[in-house]
Amino acid sequence: MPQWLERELEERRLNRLDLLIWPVGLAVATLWALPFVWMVSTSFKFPADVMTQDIEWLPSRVTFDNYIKVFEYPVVRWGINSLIQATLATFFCVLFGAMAGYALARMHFPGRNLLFVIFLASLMIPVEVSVIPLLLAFVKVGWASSYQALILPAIGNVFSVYIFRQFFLTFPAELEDAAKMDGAGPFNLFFRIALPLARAPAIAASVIIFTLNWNSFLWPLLVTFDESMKTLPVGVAAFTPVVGTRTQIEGYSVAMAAVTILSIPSLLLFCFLQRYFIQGISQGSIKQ
Amino acid sequence: MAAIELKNVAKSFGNVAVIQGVDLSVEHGEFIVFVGPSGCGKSTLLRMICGLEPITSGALSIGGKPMQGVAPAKRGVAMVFQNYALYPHMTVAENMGFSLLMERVPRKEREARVKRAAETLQLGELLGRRPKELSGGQRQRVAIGRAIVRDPQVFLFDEPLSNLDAELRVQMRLELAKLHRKLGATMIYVTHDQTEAMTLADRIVVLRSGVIEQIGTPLEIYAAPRNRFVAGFMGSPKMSFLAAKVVRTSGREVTLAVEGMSPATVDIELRKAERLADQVTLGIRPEHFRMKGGQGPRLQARIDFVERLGGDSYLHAPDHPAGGLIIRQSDAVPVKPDAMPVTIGVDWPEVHLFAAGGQAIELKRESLSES
Repeated sequence: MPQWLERELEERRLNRLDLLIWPVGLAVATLWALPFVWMVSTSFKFPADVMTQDIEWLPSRVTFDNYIKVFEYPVVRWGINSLIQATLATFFCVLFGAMAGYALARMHFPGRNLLFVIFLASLMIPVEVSVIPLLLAFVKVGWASSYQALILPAIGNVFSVYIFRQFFLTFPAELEDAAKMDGAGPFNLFFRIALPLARAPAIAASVIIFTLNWNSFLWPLLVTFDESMKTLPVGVAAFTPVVGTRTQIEGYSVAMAAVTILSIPSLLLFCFLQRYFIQGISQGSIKQ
Repeated sequence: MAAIELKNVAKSFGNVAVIQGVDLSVEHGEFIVFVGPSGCGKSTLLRMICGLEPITSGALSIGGKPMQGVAPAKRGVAMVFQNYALYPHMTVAENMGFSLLMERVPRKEREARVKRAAETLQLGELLGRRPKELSGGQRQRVAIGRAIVRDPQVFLFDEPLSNLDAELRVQMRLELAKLHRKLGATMIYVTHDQTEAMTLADRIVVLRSGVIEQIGTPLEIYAAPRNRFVAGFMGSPKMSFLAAKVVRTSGREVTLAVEGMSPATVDIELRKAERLADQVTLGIRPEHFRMKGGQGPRLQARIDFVERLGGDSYLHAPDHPAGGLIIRQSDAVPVKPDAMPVTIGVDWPEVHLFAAGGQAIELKRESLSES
């Protein structure tokens, strides 16, 4: 290895393996970013420029018509629905996940570990299996096509329980002891001591669960019967061009504009909370 | 009525007994130190007193009231933890006032009590800061302040100074002693540092494997350890132990032979006649060796290593045939490690004798000084 490279590695506190890991990581990251770049780029293209002989990564001519066309539909209404659904579902999901995670990590009761295994095992049940009985249940109680129907099934999320359990496993026992000595019961101990200190896992869980809910498609599609209760992904699906017609070509750029709008909130959330997100995800996997 | 009374208190984790039938009575205003090696059960005993660890059997009373089923916060005790255990998201004032908030003490009174405790500990300037903005010593003072605010009958300290550097530890030790004098409250303090135990305690409780080995004032324990474990544990550097053979016994008179000692046999008189096994152990503290003089027999030993502490030096002679020696030398001229053996005198009236099982045998010291 040339001397200048060795010096460079030492300065940047990297080892030789990093020389391999970094280019591979960069290549994978680029591969993942390409569809996103293509989506944003296409959303600013004229319909005629979408299907071309040569790949046009950046549009040669820029237009905002696609976005204007998208807003001819009740996109704002769908967006509000999505926002209400995703925000409330995330709030309750994180709150209950933290409570369950805390109980599973810090409270001693018979069957604690078995319960956690059952929680994890529920991840193996595909959504498609439970979605029809769930729909029938909501229709029966008269909650179909309502916010309750959009939010309630999304509250129970095992991932949130898992991420909080891992965090609370590493929670200092002395803090709990100090709180008990100070006279805090389980309720105060959780809400005044444990939860305020669980900012990193709360943010990580919030970003992931918000994104999941924001992008949720199958359940909102089945449970919303009228246009005004549709969520953004369900509404945007209407822009999908039908194969074999002229709209296939004309519609692509409009569809991409719609999907770009759809992805903005998750993207912003991730960008702002990236630091906490990575901290929360890696909790427990590395020695703190 | 004692401040704290433990009667035959025991604690087991599954089949492992960590505290075995402890009896202890702590008087009001006493400063008691639990001392012992790691894993001896001293912290567990403290946690049992404050209610964080349930008692397997036996009875505990605080201020004359039985404590069975009483929650930690209702026992009238406050605890200072080893790692401070301050709530990182709260300010110093919020940390100190948290217990009062839990007791639903009105805000004004809460603030007044926090302020009073902060003045006692000179924390007034720091009330708005969070724990991460404080130094180790300041954090420890906040932890103590949090305990004071509750105005408890009993303070419990679980190795509170072990995370501080040497200088700060000495300073905080003095502050704790002053605080005890000022508040006059009962204090129980856990440490594995025998210097802390000696300097702070009214009485020391020496523990080993969940059993109390000895209870006494620091000087009692230092001067008259009940067994070889206590003798070895209390005192730094530790007592030197020499293997001795019992050559002859006649009533209270015993003649011992110690390898590497001249004369070859020495007489010793016991306080009362006892049947001794063939092998016993002589115990000599570092300050009871003399490089020059000494009233008793002499030992030949090769000095292998010298620790110089400024005023004092400690000479190590690990190869002595009867057992390794550690000798304190306060003279200005330090001895250097040398291949040639040197002659070391012993203050014979100060020696300790231990039976084969480790228990101390009482000596008639007046007669030793005559020999």
